Amino acid sequence: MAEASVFGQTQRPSSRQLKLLEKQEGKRGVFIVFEGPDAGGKSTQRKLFEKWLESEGYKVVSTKPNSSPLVKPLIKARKAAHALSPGEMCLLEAAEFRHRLENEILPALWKGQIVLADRHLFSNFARNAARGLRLDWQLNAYAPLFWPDMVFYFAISAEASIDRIAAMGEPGFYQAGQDITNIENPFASYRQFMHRVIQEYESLAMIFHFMTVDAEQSIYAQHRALRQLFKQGNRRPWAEWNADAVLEWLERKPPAAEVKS
Amino acid sequence: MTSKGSGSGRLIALEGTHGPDLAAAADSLLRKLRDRKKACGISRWDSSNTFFEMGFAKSSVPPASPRTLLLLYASDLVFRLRWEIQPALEEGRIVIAAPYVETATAMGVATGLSRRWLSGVFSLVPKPEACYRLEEKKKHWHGKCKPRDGFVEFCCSVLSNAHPYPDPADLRAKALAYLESLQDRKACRELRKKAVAEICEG
Repeated sequence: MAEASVFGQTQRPSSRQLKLLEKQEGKRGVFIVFEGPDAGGKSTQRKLFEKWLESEGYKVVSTKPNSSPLVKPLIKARKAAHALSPGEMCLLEAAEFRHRLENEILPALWKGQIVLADRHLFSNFARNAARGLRLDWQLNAYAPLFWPDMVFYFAISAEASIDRIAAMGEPGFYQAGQDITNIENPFASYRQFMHRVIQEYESLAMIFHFMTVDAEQSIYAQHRALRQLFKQGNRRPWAEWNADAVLEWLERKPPAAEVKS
Repeated sequence: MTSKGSGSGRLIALEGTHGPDLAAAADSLLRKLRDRKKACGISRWDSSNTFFEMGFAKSSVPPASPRTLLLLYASDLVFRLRWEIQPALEEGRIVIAAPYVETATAMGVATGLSRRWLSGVFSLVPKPEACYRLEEKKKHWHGKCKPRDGFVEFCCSVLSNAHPYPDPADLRAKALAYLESLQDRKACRELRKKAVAEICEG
C-alpha cells in the first residue's frame, strides 16, 4: 500500500482510487517478465511464448528495454561515445523505463492485454549493482516501482553465457562491462563482469521470488516449463503492489471511460 | 559530502525559476570573480545536450512526465559533475553551478513529486559549499515559456502540452514557494550584494 511503501509516494491513495484499482483487477492484463543473463535464450522463449498465448486467444504486447522513442536516442548516442558513468546510465535507464511504463506497458495492461517484457527493472538492477551502484539508491530512482505478475528467470552459468556470446560475436563495450573492468579484451571483460552480474541476479531472484527456468535445457523443455508456470501463476493485486505507479499514471492520463465508472 | 571534499575548489549553487535571469546572474558573478583574479567557471543546465536532443523527438512521441523530466535532469547533472564540476574543483577553481539541485527539486515538488524521492535521486551529487537563490520577479511569468531558456521553462513547456497540468505560472509559483521555504530554513540565501561580496572574498 502506498503509505507503507518504503520508496516513492508520500500520499496514501484515497478509498475511491483503491476501489477503482480493485474494480480494474479482474479486467486488467497480466505483466510477465523474462529475465536473466545475456545469451540465456530469453528472446527465443519470449517469442515462442507470445505465439502460444496468441494461439490460446490472448492479446499480447511485447516490450524491451531501451525502446522508448524519447530516451533511446540519448542512451544510444552516449553508449556509442563510451561517455556514460554508472550513475548517469542508471538515471537515463530509469527515465527510459518510466516513459515506456507510462506510454506502453500500463495502457496495454489497462486494456486487458498481456504484456511480455524481454527484461525489466531487474536486469538494470543486476548490471548496475555489478557496476557498484547501491541497490537502495537504484530502487528509489525507479520508484514508484511496478512489479510484474510473474518473473521467469533464465538461469545460466557464467561459462555457458560466455560460450554462447562468443559464438554470436564480440560483446559491446557496456555489455562486456569494459567501463568498469578496464579490461581491453571484451571477452575477458565480459567473463569478469558476467560473474558479478549473475551473483547480483541470484540475490534478486531470492528477494523478488523469480520463477527459475533452467536455460541450459532444450528450447522445447523450457517452453513447456513456461506454459506450466503460467498456468499455475498467481497475480499480484495492483491495489496492494502497484498502487503508486498506476495511480500516478492515471492522474496524468485518465482513460476517460474507466475512470468515470 | 560537500564540494570541499572533492578538491581544493569551491562549488557555489545558484538557483532560480527564471532561466535567463539565472544565466545573467551567473555571468555577472563570474565577471566579479575574474576581476579579483579568481580561477572560476560556470556549469550550466543541459551541458550533456539531453534536453536539446529531446527537442528532435517526433511530435507523435508522447511527452515526458514530471518524473521522467527529473530523472533526465539528474542524469544531466551527473554528466556536469563528471566532466565539468569535479575536474574544475580538483584544479582549485570556483564553480558556479547555475542551476544545481534545488531548482530541479523545486520543479519536482511543484509537480507533486515527493521530496523524499527527489532527495534520494540527488543523493549521488555532492553538497555545494553555499547555495544562493535569485530575487525573483513574478512579472517574468507571463507569456509563453521558451523551452531553451532553462529547466523550469523546459518543464513548463512540456507539461503544459500534456494532460492535465496547471498553467506554467502556477507551477513556477509553487517552485518559488519551495525556494523561499529553503531560505526560511536557512538552507539557501538570496543573492544580494553582501552575498556576492562574500563569495568574491571567500
